[in-house]
Amino acid sequence: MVNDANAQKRNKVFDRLKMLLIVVAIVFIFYAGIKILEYLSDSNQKLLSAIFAILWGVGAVSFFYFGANWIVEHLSSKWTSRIQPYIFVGPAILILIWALALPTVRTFIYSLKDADAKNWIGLTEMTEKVTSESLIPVFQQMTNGFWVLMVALLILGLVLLFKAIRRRKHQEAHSETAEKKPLISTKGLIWILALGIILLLVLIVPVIQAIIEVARTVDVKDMILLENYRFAFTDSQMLIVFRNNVLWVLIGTFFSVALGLVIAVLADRSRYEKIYKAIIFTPMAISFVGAGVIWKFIYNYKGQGNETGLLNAIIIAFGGQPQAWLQIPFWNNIFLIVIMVWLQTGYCMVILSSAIKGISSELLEAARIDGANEFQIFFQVIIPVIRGSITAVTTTVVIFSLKTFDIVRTMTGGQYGTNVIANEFFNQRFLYFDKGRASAIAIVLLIMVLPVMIMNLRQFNERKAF
Amino acid sequence: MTAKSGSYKKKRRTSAFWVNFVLILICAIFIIPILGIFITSFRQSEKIFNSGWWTFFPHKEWSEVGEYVLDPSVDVNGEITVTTDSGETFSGDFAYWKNGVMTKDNLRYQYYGAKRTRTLKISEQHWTGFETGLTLDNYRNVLSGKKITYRGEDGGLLTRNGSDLSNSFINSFAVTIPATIIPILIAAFAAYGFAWLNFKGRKVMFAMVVALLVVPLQIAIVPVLQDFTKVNLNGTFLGIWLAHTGFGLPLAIYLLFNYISEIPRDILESAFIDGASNYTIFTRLILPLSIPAIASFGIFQFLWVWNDYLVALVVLGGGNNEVVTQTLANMVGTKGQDWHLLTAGAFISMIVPMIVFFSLQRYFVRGMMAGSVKG
Repeated sequence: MVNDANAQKRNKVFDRLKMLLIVVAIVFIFYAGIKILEYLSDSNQKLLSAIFAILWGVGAVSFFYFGANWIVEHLSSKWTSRIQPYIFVGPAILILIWALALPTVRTFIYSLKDADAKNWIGLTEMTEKVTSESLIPVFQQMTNGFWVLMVALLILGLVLLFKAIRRRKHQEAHSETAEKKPLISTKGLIWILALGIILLLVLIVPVIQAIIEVARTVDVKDMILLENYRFAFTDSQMLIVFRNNVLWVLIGTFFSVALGLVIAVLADRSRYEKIYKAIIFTPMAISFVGAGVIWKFIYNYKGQGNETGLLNAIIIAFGGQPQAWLQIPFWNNIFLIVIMVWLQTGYCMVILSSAIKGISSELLEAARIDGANEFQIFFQVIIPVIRGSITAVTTTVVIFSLKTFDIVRTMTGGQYGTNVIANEFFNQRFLYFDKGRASAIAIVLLIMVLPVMIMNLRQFNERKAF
Repeated sequence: MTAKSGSYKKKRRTSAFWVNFVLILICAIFIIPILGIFITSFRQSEKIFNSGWWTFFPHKEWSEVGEYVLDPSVDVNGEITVTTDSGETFSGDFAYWKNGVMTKDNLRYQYYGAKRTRTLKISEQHWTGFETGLTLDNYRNVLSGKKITYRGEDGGLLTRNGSDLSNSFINSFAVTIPATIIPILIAAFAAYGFAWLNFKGRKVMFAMVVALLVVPLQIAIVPVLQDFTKVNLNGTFLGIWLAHTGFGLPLAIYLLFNYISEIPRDILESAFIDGASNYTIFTRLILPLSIPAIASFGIFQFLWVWNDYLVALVVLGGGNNEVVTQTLANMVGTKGQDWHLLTAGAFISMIVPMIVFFSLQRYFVRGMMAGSVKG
């Protein structure tokens, strides 16, 4: 028996040692890996660095999970069931908070600060005004006697509280009944409330008066806390940006979804469906930058010699004049939107195609027997039935078009009136180095996608028992 | 069921014809841009600058067969009369001859250059064959990092540094593969935790995941970049892996959660009864069962990271760690002198995603359908 107990104790010690070892190993692996990566990149060994990075990255993360779980599972079972979920979920949540959740708050704060994200715009001046001109005089007016009374009351309150706690402890130790009397009797509570209200009135009211006084004297225009937002919403350049984004959202989404729907419906009736869908789908694999390059060869304008852009060549073949398409005001946006439609139609098509295949053939058969022609079937049967999918697809494409950056940046750099909000964010942050304005623009972007976020959250809430 | 009459069959056939016709038209429009790039990338640089890529195909072209010099007595500012070899006589002013005049031999007489050249060029049309002289030079030049030479628009020889796309290519792999695998690992653990483990704050945390699905990148970039600069991670691979992991986690967790939560409970319960711990169940049971969902997200993430430009631009910056999208975008920026390289570069950048995409298309589609709530 004694040997068993000793053996158990020894096992426990070994376990503790192993746990320590694992923690040390995890830290060591992470740290060593970073150092090795640094060394490899400094000595410019590209391939070696890449391979090591892949192995280390995957290996270190796997070992972390393995080790952490080993430790948790060798604790007492009460602790295991309490802690283990957090080992599973923890890293993900922590990374999410650092990468997305916190930055949202921080970006919002930056949007209220100036270009270097150091000083609050406007607020320092306002707080100075409030404190130096109004608050301090108010407090100076209060006599010393007043302050003595305040302190006395505070001490009295604390003493009473202590007494009540001691009484309560005494009761618990000696009382046999399970009935718990409240810590402070109702009478006592009323006294405290009354005192509190009086204090509030005496102290807070002057402060509020001071703030109102300041607010009355300060001109709203001087309150430049929201200066960055004023820029974001009223600057003439930003108005062009908003106009362009509206174009992108409306035209881009409509044509992507409509085209995807039409192709899905048509392909469904054809024998070579798979081939068509594969071809339409292909552009999805291309990067935006690559798409920009491809379409640059279509929109190209030389102005002399032979035109090398396909669009200009077609125009010439029909007897027209070649143009610099991407520089035509207003219409150049449309030409850029065409690129996005080219890329996004495949996505819409795939989703809508599977939705269409889900429509019961009896429904279509019945409509045909009733004498409806194909157009009527399309508009009055198909579209209403797959309305859910259309909405889902439209939302996704809307958000996608709001975030357009690569296309505009590589094709026109936002010039010639093609600027969009994501590009303007980039310019403000990395060209003009104005963190405040960039953050305000990012927040505006966030506000634009807020409806979708709320919709998602609401859907999540209605889910099965979570 | 009505008997299929002859006119019904005919109607079916014509409608089938129109359906396929429209589809072929649309597909052609979709494919042509890519075809253009593909052909251009093999042409010689001089020809790229001087003619459209469609001239690759056989077409009718004008070529010079002779010259006609105007008599010194002819006044070029007035009426110019010329008798051609075919015996016809044409009369007109400078603009008339500038347009070109066709004779019945199908020869064209056209004023060459300004008035003072006093020369008419005689040309005729003929079919050319496919363009010859296709070359892999563009590919070679765009991949190399050393000095390259090529012919410019006027035929002169130009020398420059190569675009070093091969370096960017390796960088893209180094960035994309970890940025795909690591989020999958982390998200799989988290998804299992959300789906099958009970703990405090579970609903709130998952609500956060759902909310973060649509948060735009731009929100996160400024603070994240500041953090990186503080710990000297900006411009490194580790930094961009962390960034892509963070940005890809919401969708990953969401997708994997949807899939894992639908694994039948009895499988898990019998494993529990057999004494397996959560970790063993996860590694031996859940992970293998979730391979379809993992593959879906994996491809999605791979394509997204490979084709990404904004995060790479912000976190990696320029320099030695550039990825393919950055190098390509830089090449677009120059005033068009690099177009021959651009086409080859674009194609190289497209090859990898295309291969991944086509070979694993089924999984990709499934991932897209599930992810259609994301922005």
